[in-house]
Amino acid sequence: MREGIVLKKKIDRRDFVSIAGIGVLAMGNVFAGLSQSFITSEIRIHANRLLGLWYFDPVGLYVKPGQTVHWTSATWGTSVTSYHPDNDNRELRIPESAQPFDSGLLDDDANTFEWTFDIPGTYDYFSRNHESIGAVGRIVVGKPGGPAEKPLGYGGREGRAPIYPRVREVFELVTSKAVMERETFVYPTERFQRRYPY
Amino acid sequence: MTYSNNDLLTRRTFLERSSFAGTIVGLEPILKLRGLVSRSAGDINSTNWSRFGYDLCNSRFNSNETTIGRKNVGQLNLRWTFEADAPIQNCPAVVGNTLYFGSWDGHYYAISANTGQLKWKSDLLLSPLESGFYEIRSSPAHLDGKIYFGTGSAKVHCLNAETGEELWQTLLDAEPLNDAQITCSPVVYQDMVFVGTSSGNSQIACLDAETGKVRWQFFVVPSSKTAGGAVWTAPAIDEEHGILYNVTGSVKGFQPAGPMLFTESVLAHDLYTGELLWYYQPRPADTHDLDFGSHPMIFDAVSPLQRGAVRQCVGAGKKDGFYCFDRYTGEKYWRTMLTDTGEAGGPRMSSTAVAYNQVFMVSNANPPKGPMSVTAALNAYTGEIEWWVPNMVRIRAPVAVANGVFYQGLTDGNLEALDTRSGRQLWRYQLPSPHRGGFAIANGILYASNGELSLDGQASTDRYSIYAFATSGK
Repeated sequence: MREGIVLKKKIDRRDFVSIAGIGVLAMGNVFAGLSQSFITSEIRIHANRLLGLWYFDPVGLYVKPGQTVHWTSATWGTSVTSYHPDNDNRELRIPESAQPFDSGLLDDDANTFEWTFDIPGTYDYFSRNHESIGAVGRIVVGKPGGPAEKPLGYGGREGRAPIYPRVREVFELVTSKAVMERETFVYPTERFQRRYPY
Repeated sequence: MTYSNNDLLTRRTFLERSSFAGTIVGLEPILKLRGLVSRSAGDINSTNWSRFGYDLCNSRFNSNETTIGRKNVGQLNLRWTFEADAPIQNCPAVVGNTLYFGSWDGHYYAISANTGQLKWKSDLLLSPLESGFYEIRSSPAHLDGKIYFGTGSAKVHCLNAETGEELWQTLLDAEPLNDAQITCSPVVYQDMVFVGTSSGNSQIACLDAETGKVRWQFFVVPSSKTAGGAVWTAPAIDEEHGILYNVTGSVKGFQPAGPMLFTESVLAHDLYTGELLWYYQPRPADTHDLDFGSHPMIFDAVSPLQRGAVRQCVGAGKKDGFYCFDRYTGEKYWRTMLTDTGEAGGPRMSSTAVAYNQVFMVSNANPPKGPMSVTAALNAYTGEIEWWVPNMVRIRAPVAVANGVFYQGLTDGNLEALDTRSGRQLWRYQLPSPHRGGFAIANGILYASNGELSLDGQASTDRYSIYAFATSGK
């Protein structure tokens, strides 16, 4: 079940700069001529307590098949977990033939996770501890498709876990079409922020 | 097991020792004449500072100190220093002529309280942090010839106070993913040790003081998955009714959705059984990291207007203000905030004390702008501000009160003494690096320490010491 998962010990600053740098370049398609397997995109998992937010940034990302995505958590207790019945009975929101992924708990000693996306389609994922407050993300590989294009909450009829209202709000904004258009959909903190007092 | 006198207080002494008797500023001399000056639960006949909160009320107010006061605090001079090899971030315990403290060099120390001469040094055999230091924030509690404290390895240690020999140690959280630590300073009462952990699955624990075995545990959140609710600081005890008070930090996970009991809460437990008596949680699933980061304090507050009206309170500082409750029902009496609310704001790191019918509170600005923190005296009954003074830097250390003087240490290394009646500065002293551990005032000597890691968590070239100040005549 954990095939393909790479958990690294805390990356150092040099690693991070290099990974982030490559990520930026990848987004600009500068590496278009190189083998896809060398291209990594970076997603950060943030907690902004002043705004009351836990979130993935970018929240939406377009990648090409074979590309690897690298997540780094800036805070204790997050996870990168695909919407899949194997992951606590969530409804299937990745392509049927794709393997489910789950980083496990990311903490101070192991705060990174990588996954290579080979099968085209739309992949929705969440942070286990922060799903209810909207910490979800969407990756479109090649072109949109698969169960993630079904209406949110369709799995309810199959007895799957319900979709939280905040999750619905995020995915209704971060549509596959919008991800395709922008390629990198920056998390809109202004839209979802909740300043104190609330 | 023998109990010391301090564990056998009557209702009268209970009322006398807290603010009820210390009370209103103008009445203080009269109350002294009537023999109603508050007594410490720490030590009846001395000015020992034997635990973090000074007394079981957690007042951080040495009501027995008579040597250093408003009139002579300006004459405090450095009497001795004792240097450790790493930062000191806990408040020393002072019992008779011995001062106990721990250092991030991985050792606990006993030194002469009068001269600073080393008595013993105990290697705790902890696992170091990445920086090479050992995390020791928990302050020692002394009772019956033993000292008790926690460490960053989530262990509670009990040492022979005479020799430093370890008598027992208890690991409270063995799950590596929880990143468990103990910053909470234990309180020892009768034959029980009360302590909390800061962990993915934080808990409040009662241990047997003789053996270290767990008697009861209360887990703040249901499991590591839900996460959070750190018990950062020392509990308070109401002896009369057998109640243990704790405060907790923010939630770190929100699974399942909805109320996340009992994070960011004040909790009242039966101290013998661990039964939860009441709790107060301002917001059930807060996403703003508004920890209760200051210790719960028990006090009886006298109304400034209504003659004879007294509120039996427990109060604690949170990042969105100081909260005051009826300590038997949990009903909220008042809340006062002095600065903007946020994860770095408000009264943090136990920067509160209670004395003379006043709650003393240092509140940090968030985000930083203008004066970086504010020190104020609040009326203990109403929460109204009686005086306040701005500080140009932050305060991240426990404060203290003794004999009409309020002590605070700033992150620029300045130690200051203020008049509890007005906030007027009476004395200051510059340390070479930030003050984090908090003050102890005992037997006519003021103790402080310094120690902070550099921003990247590495060692600096600073020297880290315990500082002892006394007036020239002492």
